[in-house]
Amino acid sequence: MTNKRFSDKAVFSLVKGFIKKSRKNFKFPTIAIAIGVWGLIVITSVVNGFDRLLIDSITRFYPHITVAGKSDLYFSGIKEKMFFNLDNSMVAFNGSFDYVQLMDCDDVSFLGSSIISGQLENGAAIGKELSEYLNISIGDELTVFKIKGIIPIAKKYRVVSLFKTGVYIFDSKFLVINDPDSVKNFTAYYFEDPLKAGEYKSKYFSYSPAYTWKESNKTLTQTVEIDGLIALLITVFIVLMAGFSVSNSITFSILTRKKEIGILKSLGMKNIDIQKVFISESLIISVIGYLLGLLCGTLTVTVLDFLKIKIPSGIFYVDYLPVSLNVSIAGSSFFIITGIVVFFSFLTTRMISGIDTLEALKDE
Amino acid sequence: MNENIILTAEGIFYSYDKKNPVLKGLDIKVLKNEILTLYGPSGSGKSTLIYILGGLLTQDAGKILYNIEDKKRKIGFVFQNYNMLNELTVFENCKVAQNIRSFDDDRQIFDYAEKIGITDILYRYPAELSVGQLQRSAVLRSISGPVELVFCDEPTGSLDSENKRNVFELFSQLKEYVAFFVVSHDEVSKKYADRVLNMSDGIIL
Ligand SMILES: Nc1ncnc2c1ncn2[C@@H]1O[C@H](COP(=O)(O)OP(=O)(O)OP(=O)(O)O)[C@@H](O)[C@H]1O
Ligand SMILES: [Mg+2]
Repeated sequence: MTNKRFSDKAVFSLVKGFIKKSRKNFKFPTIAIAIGVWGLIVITSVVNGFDRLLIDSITRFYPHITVAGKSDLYFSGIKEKMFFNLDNSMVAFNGSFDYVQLMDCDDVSFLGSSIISGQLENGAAIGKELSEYLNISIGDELTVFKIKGIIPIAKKYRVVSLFKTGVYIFDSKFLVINDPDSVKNFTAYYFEDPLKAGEYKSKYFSYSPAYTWKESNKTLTQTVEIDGLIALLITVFIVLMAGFSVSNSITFSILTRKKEIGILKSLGMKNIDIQKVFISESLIISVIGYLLGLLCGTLTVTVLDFLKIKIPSGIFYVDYLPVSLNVSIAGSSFFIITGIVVFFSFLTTRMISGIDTLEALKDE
Repeated sequence: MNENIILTAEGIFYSYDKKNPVLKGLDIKVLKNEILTLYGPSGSGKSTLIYILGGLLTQDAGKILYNIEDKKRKIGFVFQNYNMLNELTVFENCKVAQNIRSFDDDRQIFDYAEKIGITDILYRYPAELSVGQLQRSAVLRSISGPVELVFCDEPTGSLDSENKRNVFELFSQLKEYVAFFVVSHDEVSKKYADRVLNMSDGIIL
Protein backbone atom coordinates (compact mmCIF):
# COMPACT_ATOMS: atom_id res chain seq x y z
CA MET A 1 0.00 0.00 0.00
CA THR A 2 1.12 3.53 -0.70
CA ASN A 3 1.24 6.13 2.05
CA LYS A 4 -1.82 7.80 0.60
CA ARG A 5 -3.81 4.58 0.77
CA PHE A 6 -2.93 4.28 4.46
CA SER A 7 -3.85 7.85 5.27
CA ASP A 8 -7.10 7.58 3.30
CA LYS A 9 -7.93 4.50 5.31
CA ALA A 10 -7.39 6.44 8.53
CA VAL A 11 -9.56 9.28 7.20
CA PHE A 12 -12.28 6.78 6.31
CA SER A 13 -12.26 5.14 9.78
CA LEU A 14 -12.40 8.52 11.47
CA VAL A 15 -15.29 9.76 9.33
CA LYS A 16 -17.17 6.51 9.94
CA GLY A 17 -16.58 6.72 13.68
CA PHE A 18 -17.52 10.36 13.95
CA ILE A 19 -20.74 9.86 11.99
CA LYS A 20 -21.69 6.81 14.01
CA LYS A 21 -21.07 8.42 17.36
CA SER A 22 -22.22 11.98 16.80
CA ARG A 23 -25.16 11.73 14.46
CA LYS A 24 -26.93 14.63 16.15
CA ASN A 25 -24.18 17.04 15.12
CA PHE A 26 -24.99 16.22 11.52
CA LYS A 27 -28.72 16.74 11.82
CA PHE A 28 -28.88 20.51 11.70
CA PRO A 29 -26.71 21.23 8.64
CA THR A 30 -28.26 18.29 6.79
CA ILE A 31 -31.74 19.65 7.39
CA ALA A 32 -30.61 23.17 6.46
CA ILE A 33 -29.40 21.93 3.07
CA ALA A 34 -32.48 19.76 2.59
CA ILE A 35 -34.78 22.73 3.19
CA GLY A 36 -32.75 24.89 0.82
CA VAL A 37 -32.87 22.30 -1.95
CA TRP A 38 -36.53 21.66 -1.28
CA GLY A 39 -37.34 25.36 -1.65
CA LEU A 40 -35.10 25.62 -4.68
CA ILE A 41 -36.88 22.78 -6.44
CA VAL A 42 -40.39 23.99 -5.64
CA ILE A 43 -39.72 27.61 -6.58
CA THR A 44 -37.89 26.83 -9.80
CA SER A 45 -40.61 24.31 -10.70
CA VAL A 46 -43.31 26.96 -10.32
CA VAL A 47 -41.28 29.47 -12.34
CA ASN A 48 -40.65 26.77 -14.91
CA GLY A 49 -44.35 25.87 -14.89
CA PHE A 50 -45.34 29.45 -15.70
CA ASP A 51 -42.71 29.69 -18.40
CA ARG A 52 -43.66 26.47 -20.12
CA LEU A 53 -47.33 27.37 -20.00
CA LEU A 54 -46.59 30.79 -21.45
CA ILE A 55 -44.51 29.34 -24.26
CA ASP A 56 -47.16 26.74 -24.88
CA SER A 57 -49.92 29.36 -24.98
CA ILE A 58 -48.01 31.65 -27.32
CA THR A 59 -47.00 28.93 -29.74
CA ARG A 60 -50.46 27.40 -29.84
CA PHE A 61 -51.72 30.62 -31.41
CA TYR A 62 -48.94 32.66 -32.90
CA PRO A 63 -47.13 31.52 -36.07
CA HIS A 64 -43.83 29.91 -35.15
CA ILE A 65 -42.19 31.52 -38.14
CA THR A 66 -43.65 34.33 -40.20
CA VAL A 67 -42.14 34.80 -43.65
CA ALA A 68 -42.77 37.76 -45.95
CA GLY A 69 -44.44 36.71 -49.18
CA LYS A 70 -45.88 33.39 -50.19
CA SER A 71 -43.38 30.67 -49.37
CA ASP A 72 -43.62 27.23 -50.90
CA LEU A 73 -40.82 25.79 -48.80
CA TYR A 74 -41.55 22.49 -47.17
CA PHE A 75 -39.40 20.44 -44.79
CA SER A 76 -39.98 17.82 -42.14
CA GLY A 77 -40.96 19.17 -38.75
CA ILE A 78 -43.71 21.39 -40.17
CA LYS A 79 -47.13 20.79 -38.62
CA GLU A 80 -49.16 23.42 -40.44
CA LYS A 81 -48.68 26.16 -42.99
CA MET A 82 -50.97 29.03 -44.01
CA PHE A 83 -50.97 32.37 -45.80
CA PHE A 84 -52.18 35.44 -43.98
CA ASN A 85 -52.23 39.19 -43.48
CA LEU A 86 -51.86 41.02 -40.20
CA ASP A 87 -53.25 44.57 -40.14
CA ASN A 88 -54.04 47.19 -37.55
CA SER A 89 -57.77 47.70 -37.67
CA MET A 90 -60.66 49.09 -35.73
CA VAL A 91 -63.57 46.92 -34.74
CA ALA A 92 -66.98 48.23 -33.70
CA PHE A 93 -70.11 46.68 -32.29
CA ASN A 94 -73.18 48.35 -30.83
CA GLY A 95 -71.42 51.64 -30.11
CA SER A 96 -68.28 50.16 -28.50
CA PHE A 97 -65.08 49.89 -30.45
CA ASP A 98 -61.46 48.83 -30.04
CA TYR A 99 -58.23 48.70 -32.00
CA VAL A 100 -57.23 45.15 -32.91
CA GLN A 101 -54.82 43.07 -34.95
CA LEU A 102 -56.81 41.66 -37.82
CA MET A 103 -55.44 38.27 -38.77
CA ASP A 104 -56.78 37.37 -42.19
CA CYS A 105 -55.88 33.73 -42.93
CA ASP A 106 -56.58 31.36 -45.79
CA ASP A 107 -56.78 28.51 -43.28
CA VAL A 108 -57.87 28.96 -39.68
CA SER A 109 -57.39 25.38 -38.52
CA PHE A 110 -54.43 26.45 -36.32
CA LEU A 111 -57.06 27.95 -33.98
CA GLY A 112 -58.65 24.55 -33.41
CA SER A 113 -57.31 23.81 -29.95
CA SER A 114 -58.00 27.34 -28.67
CA ILE A 115 -61.71 27.49 -29.60
CA ILE A 116 -63.88 27.52 -26.50
CA SER A 117 -67.28 27.93 -28.16
CA GLY A 118 -68.75 28.08 -31.65
CA GLN A 119 -67.41 26.54 -34.82
CA LEU A 120 -64.56 27.21 -37.23
CA GLU A 121 -66.69 28.31 -40.18
CA ASN A 122 -66.82 31.36 -42.39
CA GLY A 123 -66.90 34.48 -40.28
CA ALA A 124 -64.85 35.94 -37.45
CA ALA A 125 -63.16 34.18 -34.53
CA ILE A 126 -62.80 36.58 -31.65
CA GLY A 127 -60.76 36.44 -28.48
CA LYS A 128 -62.66 35.84 -25.26
CA GLU A 129 -61.48 39.08 -23.62
CA LEU A 130 -62.29 41.14 -26.68
CA SER A 131 -65.79 39.63 -26.88
CA GLU A 132 -66.40 40.59 -23.26
CA TYR A 133 -65.09 44.11 -23.86
CA LEU A 134 -67.33 44.60 -26.88
CA ASN A 135 -70.14 42.67 -25.21
CA ILE A 136 -70.57 40.58 -28.33
CA SER A 137 -71.68 36.94 -28.66
CA ILE A 138 -71.70 34.26 -31.31
CA GLY A 139 -74.10 35.12 -34.09
CA ASP A 140 -73.70 38.89 -33.71
CA GLU A 141 -72.30 40.94 -36.55
CA LEU A 142 -69.38 43.30 -36.05
CA THR A 143 -67.87 45.91 -38.31
CA VAL A 144 -64.18 46.04 -39.16
CA PHE A 145 -62.56 49.25 -40.43
CA LYS A 146 -59.35 48.60 -42.30
CA ILE A 147 -57.30 51.73 -42.70
CA LYS A 148 -55.96 51.81 -46.24
CA GLY A 149 -54.28 55.14 -46.88
CA ILE A 150 -56.63 57.75 -45.53
CA ILE A 151 -59.90 56.04 -46.46
CA PRO A 152 -61.18 53.46 -44.02
CA ILE A 153 -62.83 50.45 -45.62
CA ALA A 154 -65.66 48.99 -43.58
CA LYS A 155 -66.64 45.33 -43.77
CA LYS A 156 -69.09 43.29 -41.71
CA TYR A 157 -68.40 39.83 -40.27
CA ARG A 158 -70.55 37.46 -38.29
CA VAL A 159 -68.93 36.14 -35.07
CA VAL A 160 -68.76 32.34 -35.39
CA SER A 161 -66.47 31.34 -32.55
CA LEU A 162 -64.68 32.47 -29.40
CA PHE A 163 -61.08 31.49 -28.71
CA LYS A 164 -58.99 31.60 -25.57
CA THR A 165 -55.23 31.13 -25.81
CA GLY A 166 -54.50 32.06 -22.20
CA VAL A 167 -52.29 34.94 -23.36
CA TYR A 168 -54.10 38.17 -22.56
CA ILE A 169 -52.76 40.17 -25.49
CA PHE A 170 -53.99 37.56 -27.98
CA ASP A 171 -57.36 37.13 -26.31
CA SER A 172 -58.03 40.86 -26.09
CA LYS A 173 -56.50 42.25 -29.27
CA PHE A 174 -56.85 39.65 -32.01
CA LEU A 175 -59.58 39.03 -34.52
CA VAL A 176 -59.20 36.09 -36.92
CA ILE A 177 -61.05 36.05 -40.21
CA ASN A 178 -60.86 34.28 -43.54
CA ASP A 179 -61.47 36.71 -46.39
CA PRO A 180 -61.38 34.77 -49.69
CA ASP A 181 -61.08 38.00 -51.68
CA SER A 182 -57.95 39.42 -50.06
CA VAL A 183 -54.39 38.87 -51.25
CA LYS A 184 -52.21 37.32 -48.53
CA ASN A 185 -48.75 38.80 -48.06
CA PHE A 186 -47.24 36.50 -45.43
CA THR A 187 -46.65 32.81 -44.84
CA ALA A 188 -47.06 31.28 -41.37
CA TYR A 189 -45.37 28.06 -40.34
CA TYR A 190 -46.29 25.97 -37.30
CA PHE A 191 -43.83 23.26 -36.24
CA GLU A 192 -44.04 20.05 -34.25
CA ASP A 193 -41.49 21.56 -31.87
CA PRO A 194 -41.87 25.35 -31.62
CA LEU A 195 -38.57 25.62 -29.75
CA LYS A 196 -36.82 24.68 -33.00
CA ALA A 197 -38.09 27.83 -34.75
CA GLY A 198 -34.75 29.61 -34.36
CA GLU A 199 -32.87 26.65 -35.75
CA TYR A 200 -35.24 26.35 -38.76
CA LYS A 201 -35.02 30.06 -39.36
CA SER A 202 -31.26 30.06 -39.76
CA LYS A 203 -31.40 26.84 -41.75
CA TYR A 204 -34.21 27.56 -44.22
CA PHE A 205 -35.14 31.22 -44.07
CA SER A 206 -31.87 33.05 -43.81
CA TYR A 207 -32.39 34.80 -47.17
CA SER A 208 -35.94 36.02 -46.68
CA PRO A 209 -37.33 38.38 -44.04
CA ALA A 210 -38.59 35.93 -41.41
CA TYR A 211 -39.51 36.27 -37.76
CA THR A 212 -39.78 33.56 -35.16
CA TRP A 213 -42.54 33.64 -32.54
CA LYS A 214 -39.89 34.64 -30.01
CA GLU A 215 -38.86 37.69 -32.03
CA SER A 216 -42.47 38.73 -32.65
CA ASN A 217 -43.45 38.43 -28.99
CA LYS A 218 -40.42 39.97 -27.32
CA THR A 219 -42.26 41.34 -24.30
CA LEU A 220 -43.69 37.91 -23.52
CA THR A 221 -40.56 35.91 -24.17
CA GLN A 222 -38.52 38.37 -22.17
CA THR A 223 -40.63 37.34 -19.19
CA VAL A 224 -39.32 33.84 -19.68
CA GLU A 225 -35.76 35.08 -19.81
CA ILE A 226 -36.26 37.14 -16.65
CA ASP A 227 -37.83 34.11 -14.98
CA GLY A 228 -34.77 32.08 -15.89
CA LEU A 229 -32.62 34.77 -14.34
CA ILE A 230 -34.71 34.74 -11.18
CA ALA A 231 -34.41 30.96 -10.96
CA LEU A 232 -30.65 31.30 -11.35
CA LEU A 233 -30.52 33.98 -8.65
CA ILE A 234 -32.50 31.82 -6.25
CA THR A 235 -30.17 28.93 -6.99
CA VAL A 236 -27.12 31.07 -6.34
CA PHE A 237 -28.49 32.31 -3.02
CA ILE A 238 -29.54 28.87 -1.85
CA VAL A 239 -26.21 27.39 -2.86
CA LEU A 240 -24.36 30.14 -1.00
CA MET A 241 -26.60 29.60 2.00
CA ALA A 242 -25.83 25.89 1.90
CA GLY A 243 -22.13 26.66 1.67
CA PHE A 244 -22.22 29.05 4.62
CA SER A 245 -24.38 26.75 6.68
CA VAL A 246 -21.99 23.86 6.19
CA SER A 247 -18.89 25.93 6.74
CA ASN A 248 -20.49 27.29 9.89
CA SER A 249 -21.26 23.80 11.14
CA ILE A 250 -17.71 22.74 10.31
CA THR A 251 -16.27 25.62 12.30
CA PHE A 252 -18.45 24.55 15.20
CA SER A 253 -17.43 20.95 14.69
CA ILE A 254 -13.73 21.86 14.65
CA LEU A 255 -14.07 23.87 17.84
CA THR A 256 -15.94 21.14 19.67
CA ARG A 257 -13.52 18.49 18.46
CA LYS A 258 -10.33 20.36 19.15
CA LYS A 259 -9.14 17.60 21.40
CA GLU A 260 -9.56 14.95 18.69
CA ILE A 261 -7.61 17.19 16.35
CA GLY A 262 -4.85 17.43 18.97
CA ILE A 263 -4.79 13.65 19.36
CA LEU A 264 -4.59 13.11 15.60
CA LYS A 265 -1.78 15.62 15.36
CA SER A 266 0.08 13.93 18.23
CA LEU A 267 -0.26 10.66 16.32
CA GLY A 268 1.49 12.38 13.43
CA MET A 269 -1.49 12.87 11.12
CA LYS A 270 -0.89 15.49 8.46
CA ASN A 271 -3.02 18.64 8.53
CA ILE A 272 -4.34 17.97 5.05
CA ASP A 273 -5.53 14.52 6.15
CA ILE A 274 -7.28 15.95 9.20
CA GLN A 275 -8.86 18.48 6.84
CA LYS A 276 -10.00 15.58 4.67
CA VAL A 277 -11.89 14.11 7.63
CA PHE A 278 -13.92 17.28 8.04
CA ILE A 279 -14.34 17.88 4.31
CA SER A 280 -15.62 14.33 3.83
CA GLU A 281 -18.11 14.84 6.62
CA SER A 282 -19.47 18.00 5.07
CA LEU A 283 -19.61 16.30 1.70
CA ILE A 284 -21.69 13.52 3.22
CA ILE A 285 -23.90 16.12 4.89
CA SER A 286 -24.49 17.92 1.64
CA VAL A 287 -25.19 14.77 -0.37
CA ILE A 288 -27.69 13.47 2.19
CA GLY A 289 -29.22 16.94 2.54
CA TYR A 290 -29.49 17.26 -1.22
CA LEU A 291 -31.14 13.86 -1.63
CA LEU A 292 -33.57 14.63 1.19
CA GLY A 293 -34.41 18.00 -0.37
CA LEU A 294 -34.77 16.43 -3.80
CA LEU A 295 -37.19 13.87 -2.42
CA CYS A 296 -39.31 16.46 -0.59
CA GLY A 297 -39.13 18.82 -3.58
CA THR A 298 -40.26 16.34 -6.22
CA LEU A 299 -42.96 15.09 -3.88
CA THR A 300 -44.23 18.63 -3.36
CA VAL A 301 -44.11 19.35 -7.09
CA THR A 302 -46.02 16.15 -7.85
CA VAL A 303 -48.69 17.03 -5.29
CA LEU A 304 -48.97 20.63 -6.57
CA ASP A 305 -49.27 19.36 -10.11
CA PHE A 306 -52.03 17.00 -9.03
CA LEU A 307 -53.94 19.56 -6.93
CA LYS A 308 -53.83 22.38 -9.54
CA ILE A 309 -54.16 25.03 -6.83
CA LYS A 310 -56.38 27.97 -7.79
CA ILE A 311 -54.76 31.38 -8.19
CA PRO A 312 -56.58 34.65 -9.00
CA SER A 313 -57.20 34.78 -12.74
CA GLY A 314 -56.57 37.98 -14.64
CA ILE A 315 -53.27 38.65 -12.92
CA PHE A 316 -51.62 35.65 -14.50
CA TYR A 317 -52.51 33.99 -17.75
CA VAL A 318 -53.67 30.86 -15.93
CA ASP A 319 -56.10 30.32 -13.09
CA TYR A 320 -54.16 27.49 -11.45
CA LEU A 321 -50.59 27.18 -10.25
CA PRO A 322 -48.61 25.55 -13.05
CA VAL A 323 -45.63 23.45 -11.96
CA SER A 324 -43.05 21.64 -13.99
CA LEU A 325 -39.92 20.15 -12.44
CA ASN A 326 -36.88 22.02 -13.66
CA VAL A 327 -34.68 18.99 -14.17
CA SER A 328 -31.61 20.87 -15.35
CA ILE A 329 -31.58 23.15 -12.28
CA ALA A 330 -32.33 20.24 -9.92
CA GLY A 331 -29.48 18.25 -11.46
CA SER A 332 -26.92 20.99 -11.76
CA SER A 333 -27.62 22.29 -8.26
CA PHE A 334 -26.28 18.97 -6.94
CA PHE A 335 -22.88 19.60 -8.46
CA ILE A 336 -22.90 23.27 -7.57
CA ILE A 337 -23.89 22.62 -3.94
CA THR A 338 -21.38 19.83 -3.37
CA GLY A 339 -18.71 21.86 -5.16
CA ILE A 340 -19.39 24.94 -3.07
CA VAL A 341 -19.54 22.90 0.12
CA VAL A 342 -16.18 21.28 -0.57
CA PHE A 343 -14.70 24.66 -1.43
CA PHE A 344 -16.04 26.33 1.73
CA SER A 345 -15.03 23.32 3.82
CA PHE A 346 -11.54 23.48 2.45
CA LEU A 347 -11.27 27.17 3.33
CA THR A 348 -12.74 26.67 6.78
CA THR A 349 -10.63 23.63 7.66
CA ARG A 350 -7.44 25.48 6.87
CA MET A 351 -7.67 26.76 10.45
CA ILE A 352 -6.74 23.24 11.56
CA SER A 353 -3.12 23.82 10.68
CA GLY A 354 -3.07 26.75 13.11
CA ILE A 355 -4.26 24.66 16.05
CA ASP A 356 -1.51 23.95 18.56
CA THR A 357 -1.30 20.25 19.38
CA LEU A 358 -0.66 20.57 23.11
CA GLU A 359 -3.26 23.28 23.62
CA ALA A 360 -5.80 21.18 21.76
CA LEU A 361 -4.98 18.16 23.90
CA LYS A 362 -5.80 20.15 27.02
CA ASP A 363 -9.22 21.03 25.57
CA GLU A 364 -12.10 19.23 27.25
CA MET B 1 26.06 10.06 16.26
CA ASN B 2 26.72 6.84 18.09
CA GLU B 3 24.80 3.95 16.51
CA ASN B 4 23.31 3.02 19.88
CA ILE B 5 21.89 6.45 20.54
CA ILE B 6 18.41 7.25 19.27
CA LEU B 7 18.23 10.80 20.59
CA THR B 8 20.49 13.40 22.15
CA ALA B 9 19.42 16.73 23.54
CA GLU B 10 21.80 19.42 24.77
CA GLY B 11 21.25 22.63 26.65
CA ILE B 12 17.47 22.59 26.42
CA PHE B 13 15.77 25.68 27.74
CA TYR B 14 12.04 26.14 27.86
CA SER B 15 9.64 28.50 29.52
CA TYR B 16 5.86 28.66 29.02
CA ASP B 17 5.56 32.34 29.91
CA LYS B 18 8.95 33.50 28.62
CA LYS B 19 9.84 34.49 32.19
CA ASN B 20 10.07 31.49 34.49
CA PRO B 21 12.08 28.71 32.84
CA VAL B 22 10.76 25.17 33.32
CA LEU B 23 13.73 23.48 31.66
CA LYS B 24 17.07 25.08 32.43
CA GLY B 25 19.80 23.92 30.10
CA LEU B 26 18.98 20.24 30.29
CA ASP B 27 21.12 17.51 28.65
CA ILE B 28 19.83 14.00 27.95
CA LYS B 29 20.56 10.94 25.80
CA VAL B 30 18.19 8.12 24.95
CA LEU B 31 19.67 4.83 23.78
CA LYS B 32 18.23 2.33 21.38
CA ASN B 33 16.96 -0.88 23.00
CA GLU B 34 16.51 0.64 26.43
CA ILE B 35 13.80 1.43 28.91
CA LEU B 36 14.76 4.76 30.38
CA THR B 37 12.86 5.82 33.45
CA LEU B 38 12.67 9.43 34.57
CA TYR B 39 11.80 10.37 38.14
CA GLY B 40 11.14 13.74 39.59
CA PRO B 41 8.78 15.69 41.80
CA SER B 42 5.55 17.06 40.49
CA GLY B 43 6.10 20.26 38.56
CA SER B 44 9.76 19.54 37.87
CA GLY B 45 9.12 19.61 34.10
CA LYS B 46 8.92 15.92 33.15
CA SER B 47 5.89 16.22 30.88
CA THR B 48 7.33 19.38 29.34
CA LEU B 49 10.53 17.53 28.53
CA ILE B 50 8.62 14.70 26.87
CA TYR B 51 6.66 17.14 24.72
CA ILE B 52 9.86 18.82 23.58
CA LEU B 53 11.74 15.60 22.88
CA GLY B 54 8.66 14.23 21.05
CA GLY B 55 8.31 17.34 18.92
CA LEU B 56 5.02 18.63 20.32
CA LEU B 57 6.71 21.71 21.77
CA THR B 58 9.71 23.61 20.47
CA GLN B 59 12.51 24.46 22.88
CA ASP B 60 13.56 28.10 23.37
CA ALA B 61 17.21 27.11 23.16
CA GLY B 62 19.26 23.95 22.80
CA LYS B 63 19.73 21.24 20.23
CA ILE B 64 18.01 17.89 19.70
CA LEU B 65 19.36 15.24 17.32
CA TYR B 66 17.43 12.15 16.33
CA ASN B 67 18.79 8.91 14.97
CA ILE B 68 15.41 8.02 13.42
CA GLU B 69 14.34 8.14 9.81
CA ASP B 70 10.90 9.58 9.14
CA LYS B 71 10.48 10.37 12.81
CA LYS B 72 6.89 11.58 12.59
CA ARG B 73 5.79 8.01 11.93
CA LYS B 74 8.16 6.45 14.42
CA ILE B 75 7.40 8.30 17.67
CA GLY B 76 4.57 7.30 19.99
CA PHE B 77 3.08 8.92 23.09
CA VAL B 78 1.24 7.70 26.14
CA PHE B 79 -0.24 10.81 27.71
CA GLN B 80 -0.92 11.33 31.37
CA ASN B 81 -4.61 11.70 30.54
CA TYR B 82 -4.70 8.91 27.88
CA ASN B 83 -6.17 11.03 25.06
CA MET B 84 -8.11 8.30 23.33
CA LEU B 85 -10.40 9.15 20.41
CA ASN B 86 -13.82 8.77 21.98
CA GLU B 87 -15.68 8.13 18.73
CA LEU B 88 -13.60 5.06 17.96
CA THR B 89 -13.24 1.72 19.70
CA VAL B 90 -9.89 0.79 21.23
CA PHE B 91 -9.16 -1.36 18.19
CA GLU B 92 -10.07 1.46 15.78
CA ASN B 93 -7.92 3.86 17.80
CA CYS B 94 -4.95 1.56 17.29
CA LYS B 95 -5.83 0.93 13.67
CA VAL B 96 -6.01 4.65 12.91
CA ALA B 97 -2.67 5.11 14.67
CA GLN B 98 -1.19 2.35 12.50
CA ASN B 99 -2.63 3.84 9.32
CA ILE B 100 -1.40 7.30 10.16
CA ARG B 101 2.03 5.69 10.61
CA SER B 102 1.63 4.06 7.15
CA PHE B 103 1.22 0.61 8.58
CA ASP B 104 -1.56 -1.94 8.68
CA ASP B 105 -1.47 -5.16 10.67
CA ASP B 106 -4.32 -6.43 12.83
CA ARG B 107 -2.14 -9.18 14.31
CA GLN B 108 0.19 -6.65 15.90
CA ILE B 109 -2.76 -5.12 17.76
CA PHE B 110 -4.19 -8.48 18.85
CA ASP B 111 -0.77 -9.73 19.88
CA TYR B 112 0.12 -6.74 22.06
CA ALA B 113 -3.42 -6.52 23.46
CA GLU B 114 -3.22 -10.07 24.66
CA LYS B 115 0.07 -9.45 26.42
CA ILE B 116 -1.32 -6.57 28.46
CA GLY B 117 -4.68 -8.25 29.04
CA ILE B 118 -7.11 -6.07 27.09
CA THR B 119 -8.21 -8.42 24.33
CA ASP B 120 -11.76 -8.45 25.69
CA ILE B 121 -12.16 -4.66 25.55
CA LEU B 122 -10.75 -4.06 22.07
CA TYR B 123 -14.18 -3.36 20.59
CA ARG B 124 -15.35 -1.08 23.35
CA TYR B 125 -15.44 2.70 23.25
CA PRO B 126 -13.18 4.65 25.64
CA ALA B 127 -16.20 5.91 27.60
CA GLU B 128 -17.01 2.32 28.54
CA LEU B 129 -13.60 1.63 30.08
CA SER B 130 -12.13 1.78 33.57
CA VAL B 131 -9.15 4.05 34.15
CA GLY B 132 -6.78 1.08 34.19
CA GLN B 133 -8.20 -0.23 30.93
CA LEU B 134 -7.91 3.24 29.39
CA GLN B 135 -4.29 3.44 30.43
CA ARG B 136 -3.47 0.11 28.85
CA SER B 137 -5.41 1.08 25.69
CA ALA B 138 -3.29 4.21 25.46
CA VAL B 139 -0.15 2.08 25.82
CA LEU B 140 -1.41 -0.26 23.10
CA ARG B 141 -2.07 2.62 20.72
CA SER B 142 1.35 4.17 21.35
CA ILE B 143 3.10 1.02 20.12
CA SER B 144 0.73 0.30 17.20
CA GLY B 145 2.69 0.69 14.00
CA PRO B 146 6.39 0.86 13.21
CA VAL B 147 7.31 3.02 16.22
CA GLU B 148 10.92 3.21 17.37
CA LEU B 149 10.67 5.64 20.27
CA VAL B 150 7.80 5.84 22.73
CA PHE B 151 7.35 8.53 25.37
CA CYS B 152 5.21 7.39 28.26
CA ASP B 153 3.92 9.86 30.82
CA GLU B 154 2.95 7.84 33.89
CA PRO B 155 1.74 4.89 31.81
CA THR B 156 0.99 2.65 34.76
CA GLY B 157 -0.16 5.07 37.45
CA SER B 158 -3.65 3.60 37.67
CA LEU B 159 -2.75 -0.07 37.37
CA ASP B 160 -2.50 -2.78 39.98
CA SER B 161 0.90 -4.37 40.37
CA GLU B 162 0.10 -7.34 38.16
CA ASN B 163 -0.98 -5.15 35.27
CA LYS B 164 1.99 -2.87 35.82
CA ARG B 165 4.22 -5.86 35.42
CA ASN B 166 2.39 -6.94 32.27
CA VAL B 167 2.92 -3.54 30.66
CA PHE B 168 6.61 -3.41 31.49
CA GLU B 169 6.96 -7.07 30.50
CA LEU B 170 5.69 -6.08 27.02
CA PHE B 171 8.04 -3.07 26.91
CA SER B 172 10.95 -5.39 27.71
CA GLN B 173 9.96 -7.73 24.90
CA LEU B 174 9.66 -4.84 22.45
CA LYS B 175 12.81 -2.99 23.39
CA GLU B 176 14.76 -4.88 20.76
CA TYR B 177 13.03 -2.52 18.27
CA VAL B 178 11.65 0.26 20.44
CA ALA B 179 13.22 2.65 22.93
CA PHE B 180 10.97 3.55 25.86
CA PHE B 181 11.22 6.86 27.67
CA VAL B 182 9.07 6.43 30.75
CA VAL B 183 8.10 9.03 33.31
CA SER B 184 7.11 7.13 36.41
CA HIS B 185 7.13 7.06 40.18
CA ASP B 186 6.63 3.32 40.31
CA GLU B 187 8.90 0.82 42.03
CA VAL B 188 7.93 -1.67 39.29
CA SER B 189 9.22 0.63 36.56
CA LYS B 190 12.50 0.96 38.42
CA LYS B 191 12.83 -2.81 38.35
CA TYR B 192 12.39 -2.99 34.57
CA ALA B 193 14.40 0.12 33.76
CA ASP B 194 17.78 -0.16 32.08
CA ARG B 195 18.59 3.35 33.25
CA VAL B 196 17.03 5.61 35.81
CA LEU B 197 17.37 9.39 35.67
CA ASN B 198 16.34 11.95 38.23
CA MET B 199 14.98 15.30 37.35
CA SER B 200 14.65 18.27 39.59
CA ASP B 201 13.83 21.89 38.92
CA GLY B 202 14.37 21.74 35.18
CA ILE B 203 17.57 19.74 34.95
CA ILE B 204 18.65 16.10 35.04
CA LEU B 205 20.61 15.40 38.16
N1 LIG C 1 0.61 25.08 29.59
C1 LIG C 1 1.34 25.58 30.60
N2 LIG C 1 1.39 26.91 30.79
C2 LIG C 1 2.10 27.45 31.78
N3 LIG C 1 2.79 26.73 32.65
C3 LIG C 1 2.78 25.38 32.54
C4 LIG C 1 2.03 24.75 31.51
N4 LIG C 1 2.20 23.40 31.63
C5 LIG C 1 3.00 23.23 32.68
N5 LIG C 1 3.37 24.40 33.24
C6 LIG C 1 4.25 24.59 34.38
O1 LIG C 1 5.50 24.02 34.04
C7 LIG C 1 6.05 23.35 35.14
C8 LIG C 1 6.38 21.92 34.74
O2 LIG C 1 5.18 21.25 34.42
P1 LIG C 1 5.15 19.74 33.96
O3 LIG C 1 3.77 19.40 33.61
O4 LIG C 1 6.20 19.55 32.94
O5 LIG C 1 5.60 18.99 35.32
P2 LIG C 1 5.63 17.45 35.60
O6 LIG C 1 7.00 17.17 36.08
O7 LIG C 1 5.13 16.69 34.47
O8 LIG C 1 4.61 17.34 36.83
P3 LIG C 1 3.64 16.11 37.20
O9 LIG C 1 4.46 15.08 37.81
O10 LIG C 1 2.69 16.71 38.19
O11 LIG C 1 2.96 15.70 35.95
C9 LIG C 1 5.03 23.45 36.26
O12 LIG C 1 5.45 24.45 37.15
C10 LIG C 1 3.77 23.85 35.59
O13 LIG C 1 3.00 24.67 36.42
MG1 LIG D 1 3.45 15.53 34.05
